[in-house]
Amino acid sequence: MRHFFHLFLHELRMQLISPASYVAATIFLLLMIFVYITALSDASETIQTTLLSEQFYQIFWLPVLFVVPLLTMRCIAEERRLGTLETLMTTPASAFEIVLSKFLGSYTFYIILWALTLSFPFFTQSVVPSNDLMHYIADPRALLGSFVFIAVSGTLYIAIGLFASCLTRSQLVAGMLSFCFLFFLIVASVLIIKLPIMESSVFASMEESIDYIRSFKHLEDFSRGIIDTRPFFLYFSTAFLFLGITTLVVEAKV
Amino acid sequence: MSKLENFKVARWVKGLNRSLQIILCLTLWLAFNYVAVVQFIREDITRSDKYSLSQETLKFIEKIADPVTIYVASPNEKPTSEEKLYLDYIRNLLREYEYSSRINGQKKINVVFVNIYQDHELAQLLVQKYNVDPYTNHAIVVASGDNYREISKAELYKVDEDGTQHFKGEQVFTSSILNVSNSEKRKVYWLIGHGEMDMNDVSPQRGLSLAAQTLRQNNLEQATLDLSKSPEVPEDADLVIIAAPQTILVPFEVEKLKRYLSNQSGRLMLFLQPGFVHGLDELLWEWGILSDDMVVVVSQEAVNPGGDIVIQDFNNHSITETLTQFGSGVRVMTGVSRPVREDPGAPFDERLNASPLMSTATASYAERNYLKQPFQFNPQYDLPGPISIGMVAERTVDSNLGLNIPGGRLIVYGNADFIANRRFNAWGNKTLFERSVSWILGESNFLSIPPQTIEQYQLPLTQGDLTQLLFLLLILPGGTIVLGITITLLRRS
Repeated sequence: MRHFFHLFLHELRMQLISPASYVAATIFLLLMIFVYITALSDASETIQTTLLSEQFYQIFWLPVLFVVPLLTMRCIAEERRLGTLETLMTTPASAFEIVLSKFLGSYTFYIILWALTLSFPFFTQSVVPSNDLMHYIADPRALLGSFVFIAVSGTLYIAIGLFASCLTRSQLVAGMLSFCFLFFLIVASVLIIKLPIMESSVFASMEESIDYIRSFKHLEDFSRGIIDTRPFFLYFSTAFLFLGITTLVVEAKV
Repeated sequence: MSKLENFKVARWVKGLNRSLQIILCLTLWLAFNYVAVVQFIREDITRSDKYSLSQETLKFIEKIADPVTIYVASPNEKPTSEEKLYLDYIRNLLREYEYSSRINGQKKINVVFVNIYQDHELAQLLVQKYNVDPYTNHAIVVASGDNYREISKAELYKVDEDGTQHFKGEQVFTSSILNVSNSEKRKVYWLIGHGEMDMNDVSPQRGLSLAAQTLRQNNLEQATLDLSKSPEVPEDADLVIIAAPQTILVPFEVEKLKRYLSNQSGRLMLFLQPGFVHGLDELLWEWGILSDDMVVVVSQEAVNPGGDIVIQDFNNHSITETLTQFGSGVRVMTGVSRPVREDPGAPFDERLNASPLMSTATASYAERNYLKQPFQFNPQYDLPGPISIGMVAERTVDSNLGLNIPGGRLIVYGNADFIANRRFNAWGNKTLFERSVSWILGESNFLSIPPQTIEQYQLPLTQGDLTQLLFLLLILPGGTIVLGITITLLRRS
């Protein structure tokens, strides 16, 4: 596994010097600032009962849908197109190590981006008059809960992005594929509840299973400070599954 | 060339190998997640533990034997934002109930959301089996086997004077769940033999069928009690109700009642009426209550167009809490009452706690000479208002451990027609009756789960503040752009 460490550092360096990452970061930050200011302005106009951080993180799916493809699309697709993937495969590093290093490189960058949003409350503190109100804006436990959700679900999303990237040579196709997969994953879990077939008794027994995969439910729980072990299992195991499949595909296609 | 060296076979074997690997991975994933669905932990790390159930509730839930189902009907009309908030709270609370009732993967408490427009079968069940009024908006029913209890929205929240809202959901749901899953039904005896109001009577003036139905809905068994025949008040009597006797109770009957109250920690509810001699004066005196043989006369303003006297002055007690919590309040409609007040001549007993419940308005008085019309206040004989017409008395049993175990409990009302069919469903009448029964049976100090304050806030930020914040925040993307450009330039050179 010592190869892994070198590969990982290499990936990280590649992420940090690539201009595309900075473009993704800028768009992400601008979007989140916009959402944050809107939420604050709403809270100033009407009486609120939900925490600000809860409202803020409820939009998590929007940045996920465009940041994850941007970060992951060139991981494998680019290398395949340039031919450097074959070279990489001839090194003593196993396919799994390569995939894992790419995954962790993108994932680290993803977490850094989200971590930047944790600094928003600090800026807000300079503007808000009293410290009592800060509890509603940035209750540390609720923030922690939301961030844990972002971190945990991020593993799955990045893994899916990586999987999409390994399927094709073109970055653009990889990006679109990962967008579709993510969209389906996040939105379908919401829409499936609304289908009329849900009323039939067959699906009633599946209710708990459907509940299990609903991302928004997980977010709700986490952002209110309820830590449930099931989403951890779900996201990590599925991320692992996708990484495994990606490894198999990389081995097969080279 | 051996089989394995044959290229075609090798490819086929490799392909099979890979497919098997994928299938194994998938089944492993499925199994892993299946275990995760069944075995899991939920922890609440918020500051006030506001989403978790209290220790009391958790203990009670553990003891539930038969499965309990909670039906929540969706609202008829689009909910207001306030209603949505409560719906959210209710939903989240019920979710916690479901989770904590899981034993070995089986849930003891099942929450079913009924869409009244789509789930016809369930909606029918609610109306027919559980007697839900089809026009109720957003009904909630807690049921277990044949026992059921409907929860009204008003029970679930209360509003303080300063406008803070409190959500009482946990208290209400836990006590309802206990109520319906308790297979030991409690028994209420209606006294007969003196022309009392009849629980099976459906007539509007003196019928008590609606009151009896309410008791049934609260999981109470009912029977009649004839003290002239039975040697003592039965041991299984959790509550004895005497509703407007028209002839006098003989001394030996009164003795039995006294013994029931003192020796069996009995509970007695008396509904007296003006103009009839009841024979219970001695018993009342022992409990610090006096019901003068007078008639309470009220001013015209307190009488509504239907001829009922409107009572809106309630004293602080858990029985009347629901009636006073909404500020200007829910009112009780009654007919003519007799006073029921604290007896100034009663012996001092530190174990006895007697307090008034409700009174008529200040512009009223109690007339002694009620047989002679017209009524006129005579300061020598009559009592000036406001007149108390409901009292509650309780004796606590001294215990060496310093605990206050309630001894007997007694509620006396100066009129019985507020629970008669004609007035039962009106305004605060039903609530007052239910709350009295609930208190006297000890249901309210049984559970003391504090209500949850609904935290509301509004930020005092001005446009200027927000703009300032915006500029501050823009440092971040700005910094990113600068960093990006720097790195690109560095790479170029």
